[in-house]
Amino acid sequence: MLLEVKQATKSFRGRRGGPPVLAVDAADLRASDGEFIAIVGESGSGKSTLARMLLGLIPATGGAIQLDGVDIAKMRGATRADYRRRVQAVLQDPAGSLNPRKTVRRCIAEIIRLHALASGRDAVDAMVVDALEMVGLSPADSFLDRFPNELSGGQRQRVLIARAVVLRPKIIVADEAVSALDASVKAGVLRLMTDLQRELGLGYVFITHDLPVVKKVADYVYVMQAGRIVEHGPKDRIFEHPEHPYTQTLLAASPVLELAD
Amino acid sequence: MSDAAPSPAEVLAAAERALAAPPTGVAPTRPGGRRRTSLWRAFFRKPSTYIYLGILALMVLASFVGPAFAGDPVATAYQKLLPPSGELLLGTDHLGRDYLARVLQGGQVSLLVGVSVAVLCMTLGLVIGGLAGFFGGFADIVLVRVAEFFQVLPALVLALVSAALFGANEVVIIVILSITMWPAVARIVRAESMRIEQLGYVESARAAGFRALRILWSDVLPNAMPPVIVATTMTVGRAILVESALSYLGVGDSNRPSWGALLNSAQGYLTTGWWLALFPGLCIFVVVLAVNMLGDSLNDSLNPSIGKVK
Amino acid sequence: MTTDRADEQAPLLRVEDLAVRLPTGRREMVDAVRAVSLTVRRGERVGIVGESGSGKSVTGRAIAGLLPENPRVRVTGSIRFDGVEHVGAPARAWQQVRAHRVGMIFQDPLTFLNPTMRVGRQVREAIPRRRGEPVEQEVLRCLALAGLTNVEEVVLRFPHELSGGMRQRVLVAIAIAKRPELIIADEPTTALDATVQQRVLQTLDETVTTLDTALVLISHDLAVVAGMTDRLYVMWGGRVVEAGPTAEVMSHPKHPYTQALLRSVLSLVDEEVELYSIPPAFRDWLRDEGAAVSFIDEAVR
Repeated sequence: MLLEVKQATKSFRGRRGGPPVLAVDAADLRASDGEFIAIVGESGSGKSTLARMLLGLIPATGGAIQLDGVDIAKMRGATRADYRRRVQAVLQDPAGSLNPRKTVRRCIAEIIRLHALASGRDAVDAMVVDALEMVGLSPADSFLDRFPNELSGGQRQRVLIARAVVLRPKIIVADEAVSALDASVKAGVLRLMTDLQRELGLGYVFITHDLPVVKKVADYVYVMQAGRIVEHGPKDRIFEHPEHPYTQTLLAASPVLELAD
Repeated sequence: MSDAAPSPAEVLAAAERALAAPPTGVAPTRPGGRRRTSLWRAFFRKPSTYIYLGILALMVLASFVGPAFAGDPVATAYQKLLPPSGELLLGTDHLGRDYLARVLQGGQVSLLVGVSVAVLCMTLGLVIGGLAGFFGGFADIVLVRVAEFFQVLPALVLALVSAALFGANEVVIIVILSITMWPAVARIVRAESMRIEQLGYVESARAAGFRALRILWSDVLPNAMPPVIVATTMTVGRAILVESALSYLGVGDSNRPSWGALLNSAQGYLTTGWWLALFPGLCIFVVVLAVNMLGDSLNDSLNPSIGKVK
Repeated sequence: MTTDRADEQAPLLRVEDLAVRLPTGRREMVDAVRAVSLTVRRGERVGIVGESGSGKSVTGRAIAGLLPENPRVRVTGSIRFDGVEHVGAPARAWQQVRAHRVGMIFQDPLTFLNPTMRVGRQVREAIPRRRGEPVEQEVLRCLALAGLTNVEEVVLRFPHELSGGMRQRVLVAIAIAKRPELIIADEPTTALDATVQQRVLQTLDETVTTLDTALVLISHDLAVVAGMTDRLYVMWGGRVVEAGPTAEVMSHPKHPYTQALLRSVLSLVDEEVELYSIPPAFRDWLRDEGAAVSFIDEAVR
């Protein structure tokens, strides 16, 4: 499966009398299942906007986003539902991405019901439990009736992943999915993500400003600055031989933990 | 250099064993089994819920069933301005009528108006406020203007005119009050909807493919409820009081005066007949208090976050 | 670096057996901090590192006297600032200290800056009145010291008109405006982009050096704390499980938790090593026995 961005542009109306703001400027990108792609950049680089365009949340003002050759803006009905199934989202928590009044069970069950993957309380519950076990929330039973405020940050992130994974998507678009987490929890969630990449053949489009994480888990990297993709390439090449000056600046400014042992 | 009894070597050995366990999954934050209590069930388990519901039920019963056992509220059978006594529990009014019977009957209009207006306002407010706040844009502009229009309508004038056209009964009062009081609730709903629309879980729901109206119903409105519940409970009290102003102006059945109307008539007799103002006033106070406490309690119960510190 | 001064005088801040209980609901309480002891000498930089829920932020707030004003909050133990005991002291005592001698930098500038007040005014309000020279100059100087450029322009801006990094620098400026003897920074850069984090931390480093202020840096990020502190306290479950000179703790961790934490952090940056997260069984052990054991470097006391 191939998710392609072809010269996609997104402009917003500028302030009164001002020129329009180009949040994303002629971006080209390719993502497929099984591949871990990272989009890096600072705040305001347009990476989050691009992510939302990939998810169909923001329509492109120019260019096209295609899934296996079909423009997503033109999708209707069943094809659109299918698109939603195949491209899922995991957005950054903290404490905002889950409805505080819905239990974990309901959060996941409503997705199952929306895409009619199962019906009847027992069948749906079984799928929910399966998804929770898959993301390491075990024993799943004890998590079903919990509300988000009763979960830790890492657990909430796992619930978000479970919600995405229950549909067996091909690609997950993750926007700062691990940035707010403690080191150990971050490692756990990243490990889960890479495990799922291996087990389910999942692909990721991972948006972040955190370069060390990208170096650890990504296969391919896109670098964005002020709405444009200034450089892209396989992870090793980008980190070892960055060509664009902005990429070089970005790499130089990244904090590195130096240890004497 | 450790502070505790076990030696460093022992500590490290214990830790080694613990660390040797393979890193599978995450433990739940609180040990224990599956918790089955739904939030509504928690609300109905609270003793205070039943106290307030009991008070309200009592008032309703007293108002609708009570008159069958009390005297005749219309007949001027007794001496005027008799204070409460063993025989006439609430005394008589300035025309010699059994005040107990009048006060009991008074609840019918007040409760009916109070509750009906509150329910109608909440419904209209949720629908219009929710649509305006969530969808924004043109719909918002139009709906806000509509709300403003209804809010500035002079309720009293409208009531008088309607009474002249359609007769002075409770339905007219309920309709007039509802159409002038819903904008206040809608305003709250709109503000909450606008705030919630920005939050992560709404975006997640969109990304998952849920349709807009579904998101409004399932994610936005439930989270907008706390201030709405408060506003609705306050509407009960307000409606009862505005109704009394209307009946003062003559909009209302003089044979079935509400508590508010009774309060109005009592104005001239504050020193000579203190019970004439006290009892209907007390009834209004009790109902409004019980409704507000119930609303607060409901808000607390339905809110899953119990003020967690970290 | 600070060993000479360390011998001279009594510590600026000495905390002993601090315990804080906070209400979490109608009836429940949680022991956010169980038995924390730490020392900070004048001009010294001390780090407190721990995961969420370790009690490090609550410790920071307790030191600053900024715990919630709920009567159910219970603080026991001792917090001595410059020899004066603060636990049990009236709120006024804390407030005096905070106004003149302790500066605080918190995590989220958007929450801690007044959105309707221009930045310049917010810095100005932090300056105690007894300063001799014109206040405007002082405001500009603080902003510049905090690493902001174009200070004449920044002074007129509202918080939302500035970038995240600039807002954080404004918080730094507010903290140093009173020329404090101690700065407590709680996750000062967590909300920022990785690249901006580095720059703001550098600024904080330079500012603290210039003003010779003591610093308590609280963070879950080991990299942040490692680079900027002389001594380190590692917290878990409301207790200090290890303490000592930063370099020593980082290179030769003694407590199993510190070792596990380091292993986790390293696994995130070292490509050769598999991602490591602390297993639940280990956390159970910590809760049952492990946290009660601590490895505190005697030199600290």
